[in-house]
Amino acid sequence: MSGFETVIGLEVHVQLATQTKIFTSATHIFGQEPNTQVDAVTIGLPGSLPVLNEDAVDLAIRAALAIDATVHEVSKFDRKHYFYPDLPKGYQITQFDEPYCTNGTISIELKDGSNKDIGVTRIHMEEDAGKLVHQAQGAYSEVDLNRAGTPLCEIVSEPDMRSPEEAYAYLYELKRAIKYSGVSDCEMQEGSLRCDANVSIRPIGQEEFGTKVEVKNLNSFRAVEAAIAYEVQNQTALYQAGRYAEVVQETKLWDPDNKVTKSMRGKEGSADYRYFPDPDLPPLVISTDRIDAIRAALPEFPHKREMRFESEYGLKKATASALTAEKDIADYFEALVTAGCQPKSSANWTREEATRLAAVKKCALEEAAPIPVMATLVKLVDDSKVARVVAKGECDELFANAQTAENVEEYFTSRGMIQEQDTEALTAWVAEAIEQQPQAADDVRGGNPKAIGRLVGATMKLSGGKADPKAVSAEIMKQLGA
Amino acid sequence: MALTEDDVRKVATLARLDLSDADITRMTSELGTIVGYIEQLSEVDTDGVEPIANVAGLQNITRADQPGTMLPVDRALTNAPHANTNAFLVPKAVER
Repeated sequence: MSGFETVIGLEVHVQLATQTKIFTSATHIFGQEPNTQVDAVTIGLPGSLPVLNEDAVDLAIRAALAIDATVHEVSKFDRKHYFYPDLPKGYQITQFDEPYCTNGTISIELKDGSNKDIGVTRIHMEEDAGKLVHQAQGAYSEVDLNRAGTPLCEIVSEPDMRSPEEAYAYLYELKRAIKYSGVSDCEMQEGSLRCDANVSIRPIGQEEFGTKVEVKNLNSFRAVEAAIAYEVQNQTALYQAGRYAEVVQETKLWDPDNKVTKSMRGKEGSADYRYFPDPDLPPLVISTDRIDAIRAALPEFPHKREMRFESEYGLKKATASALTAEKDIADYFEALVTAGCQPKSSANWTREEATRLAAVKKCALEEAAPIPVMATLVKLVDDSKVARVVAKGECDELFANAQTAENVEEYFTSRGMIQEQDTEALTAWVAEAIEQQPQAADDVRGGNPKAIGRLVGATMKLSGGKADPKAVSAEIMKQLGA
Repeated sequence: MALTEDDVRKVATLARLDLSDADITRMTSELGTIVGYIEQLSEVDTDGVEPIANVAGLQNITRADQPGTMLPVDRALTNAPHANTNAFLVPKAVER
């Protein structure tokens, strides 16, 4: 929209990958029968008391470090009051004015290849609410409290994004950093990563922000992008029609089927959450030692790792980016390189075969294709002992039979798949191929290098596929004196 | 600070209490007395005293991330005014 600037801030909730809830020992496994992941604290029985989960704090600290944010020594928990059936106590335990973390940064890449830093205002810990299932008929809704009390980090960005594409890039980098550091599995389908967007517009050059609209129900990164684009278009059209007063600060829901945002039924009055410190929970004190210990155990973050893969291993940007999207894939690739395989072939075998085998067997990469075996296989191909196409064809069987690194070569030898390094045999096959294809030989001698293909083909046929094509070409050129 | 009838109406709305005009009048007077009593605290000189959110002097009462005993679903639903075999039932609510 020319003449206008879009201003976007995102609020992202991620569920922390703990075994139990943030304030009680009930588990929070996704997809269980309703109300089977509950205890007295979860359903808010009188007299039950919250006790903070150690690991939730550690994961929250990791999230903070993943985005270069400040972890505060002292923070506290507050009660946020509202009535809704998914909230058994009538209040949500959250952190209001003293969150444990502020002032982070996420670096995103813009279309022109340059980087932009998006500020993160704060992260706070809080408990998730339950779920309502609205029956199609009847006067009742079903309440399932399995999710209630699941530990969350809410990550609030600065209004630093200027387009739906920037919002998408921010989410991509945030998810990658959070997932990498093991804070959350970030499955949007399962609700372990959720996003709300605050969107406003202003004429270019105007200092103050326009009226912001909050959009909820964004179930995918694409939905975030589309909903923001819709809101911007809508607000701009109203502005240009002289009806900007119709843009009011409100919460809207994204309707993915009709690709529009819809106002929710008006809330009576503005929200009044009556925050106050939760007397059941003492302040949280996080020592520098604890932060340092967690920092020391953190993996290298994806954005930095991607750049290192490019510079250290000479990989293309797209390849480095694809490899670092998931930590286990990047780790697998690097293990192959460490084992002595060439970086380019390591990248190729990781992305094409290891991930495929893991998907087929529905297990971890290392389990589907153990590094020692894969490294031996890749080295055989790197050294031209086994043809690439042959090696790929044998992958399923090789790994299905749980071969050890020691017998990988034997596997190919016993099947006659080792490329012939025997120069005597090679010399004889090439000589015979030249005899079979005199026209091609003349063409090559006459300075037509393309004709060599027919000679290579003939030689490979004579060798039963065992000759190394590179060595064959060299031998042909030698014999033809070309 | 005197409590007004509007204050009481607002608090009643937030607490989802449906009060009659007579209730409001009575509550304004009664609540006003209570708030006035508590307001005596403002007479204490707190200059130079750090605010604290917790009076017990405790910090970091935490637990390990170990699963504990949960309630069987029928027990969890025991006290619900309305329930079916696996869920609490509430009057149909609009999306928040």
